[in-house]
Amino acid sequence: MNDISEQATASLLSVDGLSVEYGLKGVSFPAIQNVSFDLHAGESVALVGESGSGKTTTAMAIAGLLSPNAQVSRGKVRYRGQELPIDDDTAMRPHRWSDISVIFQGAMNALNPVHRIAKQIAEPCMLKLGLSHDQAMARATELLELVGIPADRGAAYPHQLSGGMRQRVMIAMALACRPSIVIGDEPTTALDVINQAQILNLLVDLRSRLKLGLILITHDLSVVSESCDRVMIMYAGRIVEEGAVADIFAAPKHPYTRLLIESIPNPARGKRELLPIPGDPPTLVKRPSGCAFNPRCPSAMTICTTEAPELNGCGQGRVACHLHPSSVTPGRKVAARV
Amino acid sequence: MSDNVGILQLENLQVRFPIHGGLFDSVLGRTRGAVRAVDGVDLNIGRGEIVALVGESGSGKTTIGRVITKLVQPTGGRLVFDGKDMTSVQGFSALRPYRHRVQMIFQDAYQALNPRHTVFDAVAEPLRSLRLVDNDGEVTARVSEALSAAGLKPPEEFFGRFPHELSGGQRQRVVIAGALVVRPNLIVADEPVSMLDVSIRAQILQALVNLRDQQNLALLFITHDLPLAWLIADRIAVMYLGRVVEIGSADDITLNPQHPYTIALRDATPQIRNDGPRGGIKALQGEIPTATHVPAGCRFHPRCPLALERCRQEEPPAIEVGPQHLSACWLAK
Repeated sequence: MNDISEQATASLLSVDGLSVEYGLKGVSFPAIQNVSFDLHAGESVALVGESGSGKTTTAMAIAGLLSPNAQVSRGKVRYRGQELPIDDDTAMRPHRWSDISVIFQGAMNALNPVHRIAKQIAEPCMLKLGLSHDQAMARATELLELVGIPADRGAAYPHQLSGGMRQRVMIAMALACRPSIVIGDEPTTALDVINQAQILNLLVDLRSRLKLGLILITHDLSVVSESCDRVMIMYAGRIVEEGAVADIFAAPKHPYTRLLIESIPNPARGKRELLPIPGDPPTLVKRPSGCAFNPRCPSAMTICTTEAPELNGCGQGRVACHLHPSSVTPGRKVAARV
Repeated sequence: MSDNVGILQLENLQVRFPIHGGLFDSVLGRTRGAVRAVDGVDLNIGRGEIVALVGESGSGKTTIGRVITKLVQPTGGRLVFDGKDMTSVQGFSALRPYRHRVQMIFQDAYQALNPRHTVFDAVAEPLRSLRLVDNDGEVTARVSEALSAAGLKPPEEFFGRFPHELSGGQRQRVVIAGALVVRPNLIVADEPVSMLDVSIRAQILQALVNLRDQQNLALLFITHDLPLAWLIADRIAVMYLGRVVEIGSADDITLNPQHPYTIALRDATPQIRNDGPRGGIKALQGEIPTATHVPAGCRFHPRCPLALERCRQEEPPAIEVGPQHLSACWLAK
C-alpha cells in the first residue's frame, strides 16, 4: 500500500521539522518538536498519543488552524511540493476545505443546531466552489448518499440525528470541496463500538474510493490497527516511533509503544491481566530532561536522563530510543537537527 | 461468588420516562407515551463481585446505575440492597444510611470536582454531608485512608491541591477516593476510565480491583467496551434497549458469546492485530431504535442477521446456555 522508498516529490503532503510553541503568560512552551513525515495519496496515517502529546497540535498546524497563542517556530509543510502558508490565516484560506479538510472531534458540537444538515453541507460548496444554491443542494444530496445517509434526511436538524449520523454529516462536510487530504481528529471517540465500526469502515472505504490521504488522530491503538497503513506514535511533542501498522504491532521497538500495546485489553491474548504503565504523562510545562519517557520507562539507562534520542531509521520504520542507537539503514528523513 | 446472598438484587426493574406533549396535553395532564429506558431487568451482584454492564448508548445501562444510586426512581420492579427493599425509600434523610453504603463514580472527573475545592475538601465532603464523622482528627484519618486506597500516596501531599494541579488520572483517583471515604459496600462506576489516556486506564482499573480484593467491595462497572469489561469483571451483563440480553462469566461472554447482539458487539470491537488491517470491521447495520418504540417480539430482531419469524412475534425468555450463562434468544440452546 505504501512504499517507503517512494520519492518525496511524489508525496501529497510533506511535513519537515515542524515545531510549534504555545505562549503562556509570556513564556513559550514547546508543544511539538521536529515533527517530520510524508503522506501519500490513498494512504492513511495515524497519529497516536496521549493527551498533551501534540498529536492534535500537529494536525491543526498542518491545516493552519492553530489557536492564536500558538506559533510555528520552525519547519515547513509542503502540499504537492508547494509550501503551505500555515502561519498566515488569510493565505491559508484557499487551501482549507479544497486541499485539506478536517473532521472535528465531537460532531454534536461542531454542527449548527438551527440549520438543516443539507444546508450546512451546501454552504462550503457555495462559498468555495462558487456553486449556485440549487447546484450546492444537489451536491449536498450527493455527499449525504456518499456517506450513507438517505437523501431525504437532508432536511433534518442535527438534534434529530444520532451521534453516528451526525459524524457522517461531519464527514460529508469535510468532503464537500473534494479535498485530497482529510484529517480526522478523534472522529470516533465519542461514539460507541458499533457506530465506531461503521464510521471507520466508511472512512477506509472513502479513502480508497476517492484516493484520499487520511491523517487519523486517535489515542486508541486498536482503531489504528483496523484502519491505517502507517502509524506514528507521539510522546511529549515528539514522534517516538513510526512504521507500518503490521510491523509496529508485531514488533514494537520503543518501550512506550510496547507498553501501550500491552496495556490494551485483548481477549485474543487469553490472559486477563492488567499491565499499567507507571506514572503520568508529562505536562507541557514540565517535561523531563533527556528522553521524555525516561521516568516511566522500564529500560531507562543513564544516557536517557541526559540526552534526547533522535528519530533514526530502524528497519522499515523510525524510532527515537537509545536502545536502538544506530540507524541500520539510513532513514528516509532522518531528523538530525535537534 | 453469587452463591451466597448478594449485596444487591434487581427484580424485573422498570424505568419509564413519560414524554410530555404540547401545552394542551399538559393542561389535561396527559402524556404521549413513554421512553422505556429500563424494561424488566433482573440482576444480582454478589458481595465483593465485579459485574460489568455493557451496551451501546441508549441501552439503559446508565439508567440502571442511577436507579441503584437512587438518583432515578424506578416505575416498576424491586431494588433490594443487603436484604432490604429500597425501591420506595425516598428523601434525603431516609436515604442517608443507604447513601454511605452505595456510591457512584462518574465518567468525567473534570466535571465531578469543584475547581475551588481542595482535594481534602472534595474527599471529606461526603463524610460531612452524611454526618458520618464529626471529629476533625477522624476526618483527616478517613481522607488519608481513602486517598491511599485510591493510589494517591502519600496522601498528605495531595490535601491542599486543587483539581487543576492534578493530572487526569490523579483527578479520577480523587473521585474514587471521594466514593471510598464513606466505606461503601457497593460502587457504581459509570465509564470510569473512558475519559482517561490509555496508559492511565490500567492504573485506575488496578486500583478498583485492589479495592475489591482488600475491602470486599462490590462493583457495578458500566462500559461500552467489551474487552475492558472482560479485563476487570467477574460477570458481564449485555444490555440492549432496556433489557439484559445475555449474562454470564466474563470469559463466557467475551470468548463464547451466544446472543447475536453480543456477537455483533464483539465483532465490531477494533482489535490489535499484527497482520495489518482486516479490510473492514464487521459492523452491525442500522442503529439502536429509540426506547419510545421498542420493536415487538425480540427487540433486537430488526438488526439481527439471524432473525426468524418467531423473533418478530414473541419475546424470547432468558435461556440457560451454560453454567450461570443465560441468553435471551430463540436460537439459544
